[in-house]
Amino acid sequence: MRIAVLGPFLALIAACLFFATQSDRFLTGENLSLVLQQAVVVGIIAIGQTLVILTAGIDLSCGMVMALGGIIMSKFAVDFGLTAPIAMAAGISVAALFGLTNGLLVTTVKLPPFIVTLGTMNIAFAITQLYSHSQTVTDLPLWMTALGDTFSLAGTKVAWGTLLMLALYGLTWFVLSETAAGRHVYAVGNNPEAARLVGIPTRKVLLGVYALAGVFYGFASLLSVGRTGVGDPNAGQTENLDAITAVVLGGTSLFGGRGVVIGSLIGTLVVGVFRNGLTLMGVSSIYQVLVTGILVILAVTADQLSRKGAR
Amino acid sequence: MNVPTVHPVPDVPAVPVVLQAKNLVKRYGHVTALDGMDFELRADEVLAVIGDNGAGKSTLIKALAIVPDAGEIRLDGRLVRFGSPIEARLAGVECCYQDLAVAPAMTVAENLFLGRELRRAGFLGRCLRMLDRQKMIDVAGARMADLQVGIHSMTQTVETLSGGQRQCVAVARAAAFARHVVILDEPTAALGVKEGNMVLELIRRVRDKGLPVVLISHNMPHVFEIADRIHVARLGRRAAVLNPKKLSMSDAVAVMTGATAPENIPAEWQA
Amino acid sequence: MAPQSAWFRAPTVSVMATTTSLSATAMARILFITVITLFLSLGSFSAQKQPVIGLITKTETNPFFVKMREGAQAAANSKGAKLLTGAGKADGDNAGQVTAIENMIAAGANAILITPNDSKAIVPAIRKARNKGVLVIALDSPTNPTDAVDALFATDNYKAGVLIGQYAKAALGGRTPKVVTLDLFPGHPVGAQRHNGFMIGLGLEAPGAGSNTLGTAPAIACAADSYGDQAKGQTAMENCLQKVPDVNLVYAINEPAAAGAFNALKRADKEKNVIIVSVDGGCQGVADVGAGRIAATSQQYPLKMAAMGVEAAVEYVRTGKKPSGYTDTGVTLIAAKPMAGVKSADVKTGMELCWGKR
Repeated sequence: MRIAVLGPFLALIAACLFFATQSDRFLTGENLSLVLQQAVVVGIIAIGQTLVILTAGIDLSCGMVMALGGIIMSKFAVDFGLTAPIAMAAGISVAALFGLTNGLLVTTVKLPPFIVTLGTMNIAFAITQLYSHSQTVTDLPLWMTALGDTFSLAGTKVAWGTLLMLALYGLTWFVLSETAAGRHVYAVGNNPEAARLVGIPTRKVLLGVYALAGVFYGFASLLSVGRTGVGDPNAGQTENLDAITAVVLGGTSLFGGRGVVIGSLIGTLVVGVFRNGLTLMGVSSIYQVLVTGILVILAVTADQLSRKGAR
Repeated sequence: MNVPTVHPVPDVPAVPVVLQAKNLVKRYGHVTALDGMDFELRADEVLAVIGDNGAGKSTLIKALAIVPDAGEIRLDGRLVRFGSPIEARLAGVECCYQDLAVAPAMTVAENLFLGRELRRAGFLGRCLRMLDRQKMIDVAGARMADLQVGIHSMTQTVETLSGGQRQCVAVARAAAFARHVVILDEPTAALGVKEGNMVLELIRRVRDKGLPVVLISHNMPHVFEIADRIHVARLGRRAAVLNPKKLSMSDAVAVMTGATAPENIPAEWQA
Repeated sequence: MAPQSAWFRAPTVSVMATTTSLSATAMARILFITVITLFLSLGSFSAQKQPVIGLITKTETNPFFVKMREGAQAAANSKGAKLLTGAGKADGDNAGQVTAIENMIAAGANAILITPNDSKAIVPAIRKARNKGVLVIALDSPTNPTDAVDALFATDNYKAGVLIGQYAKAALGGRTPKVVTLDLFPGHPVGAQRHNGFMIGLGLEAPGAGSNTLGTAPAIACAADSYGDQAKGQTAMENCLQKVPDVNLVYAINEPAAAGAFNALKRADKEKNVIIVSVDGGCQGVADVGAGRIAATSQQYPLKMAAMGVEAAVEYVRTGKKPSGYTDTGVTLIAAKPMAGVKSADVKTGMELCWGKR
């Protein structure tokens, strides 16, 4: 397991060292704090995505569900004057509901997750556009954007959202690796038939994974709204592939049952470091896209080879 | 104790019957897979179950572990009904299914405890539901040593093991936790000669530890090597129970295929 | 258990499948558009002489194009025309627009108004439409070559850039410009025109209006892509701030990107010393000008553009008279603080003319 994260981690370190030689501003606390802040939205979506991918599934709806959650919470707060915590809870609940729907369709109707989430992705997108009339929601109450605020830690500005993201990663890591429920997620992804035969309630595990993923997307909407200060109906359009990219870069196998959630954080950071570093170097962002593409191929190849080697 | 009624077979010492089924019926739609199957497993034996495809071998196992449509099952003389594999396990009947049994990317210890993980004592276990990894590794190691499976690291993933070792993990998982019966479905099917023998050795040790084993197999040499008695399933019923020491493999195949009708089976073949 | 992993079984499929997700969305949308246009075409049989006009925008959801659609719908209603609408799935999607053109021809459109996503790639499909006697007008962005369409109704994006460049130069008042540009994405003509016009206005050297290349100059200390999106604009500005902490001027491709830039500057406590200029003139953007977040923006008129297009199309159907050449639908510089020597309108005027009011 630990070896699976080693590759991505080394890639991250190598990228950091490279950019440190290219720009003296790169390795400053402020800049690194920034890279973390920029990673929070995709980073938290990637947690949910990791859970789903560990069960050998895939969730294409994550970005759109995140956008819907953001529109729900910001419109509830602005149009109905709900206090921030209630509006936030409403947004997260809607996201969780979408996750639950994904889970129910996967477990009871037995549809492939790819198709299910392709459908719910479009549904979430349409609802977001219809409900918001494709208009950005502004003038949010102060509390809604608190997670985008920063505080000073040893002279470096740290965003509350970054802390929330790290806490969610820690919590998910604990559950996945230290509890029976977490190990069952791996077992279901690894060999669903064996998991069922030893008496693991595989349906319940899958349902829980998809619903929980929805909750994470809801947290991501919270962070997205907090960071940009608006409810943006056009948010989340590329986040599904961004999150899948992060998960894959983090060494989690698309075939399920293998991977570590912390890897997805590293994967998110690799992409963020390249974006930040190339900007500091004054290089076009198209090179970040190029590098990401190459790294994804490398990561999937490494996974494939290690699985083959294990046979 | 409920004395089980057994078909009168000559010269059989009174050995206690552990698992007994009578007149089991199981239908799938219009197909009757079990048509009044009887079954009897005695203490301290390896009972092989053979039969042609569709004779009801696999269904028998499913019916023993899961509710049949009709018939009764007794475990140590007590009437039992298992609603799921997990209920069967809780009652001490462990099944090991054909090459589907392990999660390759998980460790030996994790596979052994899959679905019955041990939690830590106190707050960490009760409130945080934290697993006791060390204890699981220790117990797994002890059980595996007990069964003399030549796997020493409980923290290596199953996929790093050979096919035979993997099957041994699957068999050991069943054996390590069974209190009454171990049921093995084609445990040697996908293995080479050497690896198959490794699994047979393990099955023998399980029996010698006092656990009766039901072995479903296509592999006649393996059946004849290890079985104490052979249950022949044919057309959803028990055609005979044979004594492998008294007949040849081709004799057994003749019974299995119906070439030798049940009424023509010599008495000395029967067990 | 098999279904949820079935599509993953073949190793080669897995990555490919994730990348096809968006094209599958596109398929769904195309199917949707087809159904709608077929449905609408059935309706058009009943009203024999009613002009049928198709409007194809770059995307379905960008507020600019949402407003353009509304403007076209209002004009169509008042002129008694039937409006069909379609769009690319995302900025840059040519295939979706080609499909929309084909479907609209099939639905019996007399005229098609299109904001091309790809100025060159769309030309063959437009030629096919024109060969069938359909009038094609480009809105907002020109085709390449420009005479591939009958007429172009557009804002001069280069001029829009020049105006904010001039304003920025006056607002800097002699300070040496240290500029961050938050552009669209590489290779987009509108992105290049606004960017290069801005440079000219600022007194820098830059490529002409026909170029698709972003001009560079020492004064432009950091150029990053915002994709016209607020969150991405914020990220781009944050990264540029690391490179250029003493920035004094920000050019943003549109107002959402400008809002993102303001957010980033505010987080760094630098919003007071930096001038942000932008293009679009949406109501939210004009409000941001009023609130002092954006110094000035070049206001464009998508409603007017679409309305003019519909009117020209109706006239073509009724009288056979084709519009031709380029019609500038106008651009106005909106600024809260007027600068000497730069003509601008105030926020109040901007709010009256803005698009995208909720």
